[in-house]
Amino acid sequence: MKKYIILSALAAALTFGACSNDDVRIFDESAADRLENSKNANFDALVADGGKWALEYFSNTEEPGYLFVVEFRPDKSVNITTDHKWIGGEEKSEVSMFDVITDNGIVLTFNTYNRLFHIFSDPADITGADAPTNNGQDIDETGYGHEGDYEFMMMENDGQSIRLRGKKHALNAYLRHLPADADPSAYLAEAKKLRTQFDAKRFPTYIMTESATGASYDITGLSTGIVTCVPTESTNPFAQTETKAVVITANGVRPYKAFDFIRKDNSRFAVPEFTWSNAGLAAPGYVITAPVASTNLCRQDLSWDINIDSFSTVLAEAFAAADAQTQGISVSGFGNKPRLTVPGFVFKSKNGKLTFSFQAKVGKVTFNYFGEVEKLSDSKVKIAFTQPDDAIRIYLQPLTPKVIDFIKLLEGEFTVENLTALDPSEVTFVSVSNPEISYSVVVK
Amino acid sequence: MKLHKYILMAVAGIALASCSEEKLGPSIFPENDPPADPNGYSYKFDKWVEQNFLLPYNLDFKYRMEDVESSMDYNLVPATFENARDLCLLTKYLWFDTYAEHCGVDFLKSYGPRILHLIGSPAYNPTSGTEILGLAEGGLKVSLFKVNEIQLTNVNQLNEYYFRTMHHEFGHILHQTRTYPKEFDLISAGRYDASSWQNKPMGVQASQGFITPYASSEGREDFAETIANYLTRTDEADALIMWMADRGWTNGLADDAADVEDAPYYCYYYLKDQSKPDEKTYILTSVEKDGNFRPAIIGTRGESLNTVEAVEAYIERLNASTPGGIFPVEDADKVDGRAIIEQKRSIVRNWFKDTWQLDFDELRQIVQRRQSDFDIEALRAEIDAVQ
Repeated sequence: MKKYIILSALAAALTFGACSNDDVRIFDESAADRLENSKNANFDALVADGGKWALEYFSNTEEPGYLFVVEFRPDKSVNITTDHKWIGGEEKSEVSMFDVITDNGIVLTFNTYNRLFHIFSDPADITGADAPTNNGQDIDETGYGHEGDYEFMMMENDGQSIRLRGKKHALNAYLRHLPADADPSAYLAEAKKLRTQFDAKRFPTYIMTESATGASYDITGLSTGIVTCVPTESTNPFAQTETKAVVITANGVRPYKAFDFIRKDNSRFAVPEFTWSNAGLAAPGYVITAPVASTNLCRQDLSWDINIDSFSTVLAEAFAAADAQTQGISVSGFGNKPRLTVPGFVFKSKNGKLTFSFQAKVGKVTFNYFGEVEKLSDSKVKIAFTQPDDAIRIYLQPLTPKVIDFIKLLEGEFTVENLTALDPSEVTFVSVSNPEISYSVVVK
Repeated sequence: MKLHKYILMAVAGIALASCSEEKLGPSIFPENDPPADPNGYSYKFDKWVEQNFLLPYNLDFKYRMEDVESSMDYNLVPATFENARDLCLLTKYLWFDTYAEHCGVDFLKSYGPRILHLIGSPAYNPTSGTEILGLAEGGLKVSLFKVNEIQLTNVNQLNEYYFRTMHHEFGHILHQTRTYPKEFDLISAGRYDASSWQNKPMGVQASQGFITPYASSEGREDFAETIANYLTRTDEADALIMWMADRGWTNGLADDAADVEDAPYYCYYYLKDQSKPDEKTYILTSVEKDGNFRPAIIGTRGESLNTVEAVEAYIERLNASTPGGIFPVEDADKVDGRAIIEQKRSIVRNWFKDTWQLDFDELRQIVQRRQSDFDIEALRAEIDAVQ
């Protein structure tokens, strides 16, 4: 009984307390005023300093993110510029309208149709070569489309970047402020250049290194915008693979929400985004780079051309001398004035041998020197040419010793390095014994 | 092939103006909330809307998408500014000015919707294969869809997607305000089919006394469709629907198998293979709208025949060129489709006159004239002239 009395008294106290006229003001302004002020402040922020922003946008989690340059204007028009594949990949601009409203907190709405942007919200069937398929059959997306948002709750805003959250489908989008004099075309072109640098056919896998542990992870999909990450040599790749749709911008690589990477021991770590740097795609404690050059040079599925323009002085002089001597000879069947042209490494997977080849221009006959490449360390390889083919041995070798001299300069131990941390398509060679001998090779 | 049938929906609500005789007052929408910004991108248009809809009709014309004004069950997109502007101009000319010409502005000020909301896309229902073209809610709001597909030079398309929809939705608002005679619902009682109306072709529906397939979904949609189609359909199109209504149909099955699901529907004519006299090959089909948004009889080679004269000439040629001739499908349902449609129109006509003091036929004449003579450039000039 006593308990009921206490409870009754408590209930009475709470009830009467609720009717108290005491008005304790926590905020100086009413809720409506604060909302209105916040709306106006967010609108002002959008149009401030030229109103130009990069919009990093995701329509869903199954396809890559898309990049727009949006220019919010004080008259509530917005000029949207983009070059995504659903409009043919060519840069286009279109003006429509936007507003900041308060129907679900502070909301940024693109409230008249823009053909470049609302295509991701249009519920029409997706058509064209890039339309999604299932076992080769077109999927009918009528009623759904890409399912992208065009109304966004405005979340964190630090003046330079704003996180947006789709009101209906709840995917993040990001606004990154651009200078007033930013050229949308230049910004998109730069992003496109960075986005298309990844060569999925020749270099499908990149490496992420965790600086604290030295652990490495295989990264794929940078060229498609659907990035996967799995610990290198994972014993449980099915469970340890993280996949996220990303948007590649002039600033870096951003997933629709933070990567949730999984280590070999199944512990996890999050990375919100990577930014471009000289070291690669970097995040605090992590960096993504191309596989080391020595690994790529030893791959039997790649072929490389020597970049004649990259020859160091010593090498260039030797090449010129060899070329001059080659022009001076006359070999029956090869034309009167053969020249050294089109030299290149061809790693023939058939016999596992490195081949240096060149052609006599007039005769169009290929002469081959066979050799081997050996990976000494991540940064060092050894090149050895040991077997000239019969054409060289019989016809050229006795006549053109300077060609042999040139080839000898390409031999030996070399420090090898990708042209940049993320571009493995060109590898520079610097002789260990004579640093004045250097050249580069470019992947075919 | 994707099949989409169009739905014009009404959501019943409290009809605010229905029983009120209060004097018409100023707009319920704040005149300057927010004020049209002279420096705004849409200033002239907003000012025109204010002068032509908000002030005279107390109507908030929402052309900028507000998804809270629509169902979140659907994926929808805004209308383009340009299309919204043109549809706004045509709405005034073809709908509001029609009533203003007939009975003055107060009628629509009293009974017209308070909100018109434009939406760029249709509201697809992938499950049923239907899409919503228009939505009337509680006598207050009409939503119009597919605004991004507007074809200004094609009055059939304008009617199909927008103006038939507007009159349909306004019909709902009117009958939600003052109900229509219940005898209307009794005319086709037992033949309404709310779940699979979309599966029967136009000819079958007309033969059973429905002016469109959607009219066969339920009584109140039948009522709204009767209004909207009479007002907007041209004489030629209406005559063709009546031609369909006069003819028979069959599902090609024996009488004792007539209820088999998914049975095909055939109308109009069949021919017989001389070597197989017991087998019938049905010819000619009908559609509510062809590629040019007109009712049509579809010929044996896919030809679209849009007038009674064209259809009858075609049939005559076909009969002459077919060994043994062609035979009309017997009107086995014993329903006089034409008479039923006329009976429904008569009820609507009387309801307009007795309940609203409107002349249904004169209203139709005004609509028909206006939809044949509108000049979009001249209408746009009204916006350009706004100071």
